[in-house]
Amino acid sequence: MWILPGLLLSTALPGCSHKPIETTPPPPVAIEVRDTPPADLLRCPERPAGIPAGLSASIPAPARQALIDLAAAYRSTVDQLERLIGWHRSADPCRPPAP
Amino acid sequence: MRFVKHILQLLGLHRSWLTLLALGAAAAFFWWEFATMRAERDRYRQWADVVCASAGSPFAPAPKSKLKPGDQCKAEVAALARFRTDQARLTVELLARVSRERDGKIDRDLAIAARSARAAAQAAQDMEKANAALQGDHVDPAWFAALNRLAGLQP
Repeated sequence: MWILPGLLLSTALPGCSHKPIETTPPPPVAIEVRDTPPADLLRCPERPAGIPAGLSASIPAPARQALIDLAAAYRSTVDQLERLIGWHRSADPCRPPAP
Repeated sequence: MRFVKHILQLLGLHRSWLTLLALGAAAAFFWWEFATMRAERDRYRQWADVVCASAGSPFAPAPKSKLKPGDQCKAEVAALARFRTDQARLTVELLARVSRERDGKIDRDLAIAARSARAAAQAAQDMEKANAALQGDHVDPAWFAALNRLAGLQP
């Protein structure tokens, strides 16, 4: 005798359950702004081939000092550029792979 | 004693008038209470309209809606508050993640800078030795090799 009321309740009670009311606020969004330089600025510098091995020459001292200063300045500039590129890329991209 | 008796006698004589007066006072009191409550109710209703309009949902339910007045508005306000909390949490999480990433970048850059500085200092030292070992202006292959290493170039 309790079957019929039970059936009725089972169909009527879900109607009393709380229905969420639809609302309009948008989902929260947080976007990271990455100010990455253009890709061509992040290309690793290509080092030219050095002076061929086995050469000898006669170079006066001032010219030698200028060559040494040029070489040191070139290395310093390239190192700085590679650090800058490494800052913007994920890894140490310009480092040649270990032999 | 006689005075009290006199007062009671007077009250008995004018009981109907006094009852009417008391009823009138009670009615005036209730009317005043009711007017105050109605004014407050109207003010709160106006306040609710303003709040709900700010939240983008009217206080009165839409026609044919089964919701009670204010239900939609309440849900909107709750959703807005949740939105603000979630937005603040997301922003803080993002800032924390970016800050951690930046710390990692600083560490990595320090490592690269230290390695480059060590290699450059070693190359400069070798160059100095090679330059000091020269006889006159004649430059030998060892000097050129040191120059290549100083510039970081392969011969």
